[in-house]
Amino acid sequence: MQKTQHYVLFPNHDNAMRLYRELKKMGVRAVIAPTPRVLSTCCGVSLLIEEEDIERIQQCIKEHGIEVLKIEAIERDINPMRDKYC
Amino acid sequence: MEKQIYFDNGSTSWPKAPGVAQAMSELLMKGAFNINRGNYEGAYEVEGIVLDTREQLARLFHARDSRRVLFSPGITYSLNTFIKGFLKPGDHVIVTGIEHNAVMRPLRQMERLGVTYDVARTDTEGTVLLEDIEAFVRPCTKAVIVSHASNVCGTVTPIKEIGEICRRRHIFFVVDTAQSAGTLDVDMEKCGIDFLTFTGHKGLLGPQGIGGFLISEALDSVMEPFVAGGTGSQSDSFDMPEKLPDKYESGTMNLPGIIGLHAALSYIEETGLEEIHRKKMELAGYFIEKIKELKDIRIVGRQGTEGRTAVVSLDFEKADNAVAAFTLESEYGVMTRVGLHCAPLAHKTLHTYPQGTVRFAFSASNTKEEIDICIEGIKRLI
Repeated sequence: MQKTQHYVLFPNHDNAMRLYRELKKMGVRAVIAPTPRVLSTCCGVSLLIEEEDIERIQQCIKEHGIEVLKIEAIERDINPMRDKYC
Repeated sequence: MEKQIYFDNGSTSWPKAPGVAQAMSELLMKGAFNINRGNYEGAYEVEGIVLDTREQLARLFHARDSRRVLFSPGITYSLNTFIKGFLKPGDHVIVTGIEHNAVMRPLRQMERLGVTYDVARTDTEGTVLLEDIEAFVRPCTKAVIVSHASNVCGTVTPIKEIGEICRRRHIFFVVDTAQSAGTLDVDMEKCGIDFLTFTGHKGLLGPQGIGGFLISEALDSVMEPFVAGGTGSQSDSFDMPEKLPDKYESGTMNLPGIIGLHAALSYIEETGLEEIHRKKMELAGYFIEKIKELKDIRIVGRQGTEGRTAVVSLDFEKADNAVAAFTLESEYGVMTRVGLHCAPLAHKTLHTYPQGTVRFAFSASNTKEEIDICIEGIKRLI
């Protein structure tokens, strides 16, 4: 079963840390994670977020002047059932 | 000789702030992960402390945005970043008569490429003459570079007034806070500073090898990074990122240094800058009064505690300054710094060239008892 995942992409680590910190203060769930290669050829980090929080996160980005590249959604491509045959 | 008395805090402070060595050791022992590269929890934790340290420095220097706090190996690197990253052939800058070689040597290198400079005179106590700064401004003048406090005689430069001149004449203002950060309140906004350089290992009580600068938006928009390389961002491009802090922070950073500086800044925030300054000046005042009672010693620069830091230089008029310093160390355990202090221009200005001076730079950890021992030693020398 595939699940959509949402990522906030940044120009650098500094902005990712700044947003992560603000979201933590707000109690919004976010996980720092490497940027999936399908989203960027850059070796930076992203924040893995929940879809229902996107609006609050966008507001937070605006309020704190945090620089982000975009918020992207991708289908999770690691099948947890891989290599399992029974 | 049992006791060691450290009065060379102008070179580097010692002892360092409580917690500095422990924080650095813990990082190295428990996980010296690399930031901006490592994509795992341990690296993000270190990254969080680096961000905390930027915020502490922004608070210390009254900067609005901690994104404008950049790290470098020290103030010399920071000054080179400006002098070599911004100035172009045909540009002119103004410096003062108390500048350190961290300013004068890169400027001399740039002079060979067509950059020119003028030196604003100072009075006999080392205070810059503001009228010289006004008078030296030309259409091609791009910046005024000043040392906030002399590393030779401790005289404080009126940076607020110079900042006003720079703003009025549309010139960038660069301040070297090597001898004032952690001692005096330096307000980047009020003083109109475009490029505030700092070092972590002197008044900020951190380890050697870490420093940096704070840059204004206006200057950042026209300055090129002096050093280029990997930043862990936009790795698909050969061009340097434009975003801060990456633009000026190529290569792996001195993370143990930043973590140590973070601990030192936490100590300064808890203790209070004013309290640290009060203690230092009390000791400097005590020392100056005792010296004034003695003959054949000249206090270089200001004769009281007004308008100065706790750096006091002496010229032994009837003894060789190097021999005096050596005797104080070998017989009384008093560590000072003798010579030209990497500031021949300042010594020429203060008429202590080429003999130099013996410099006593006090920290808040020193005591009056230590000064008494030192004074006894000095009495034997004259």
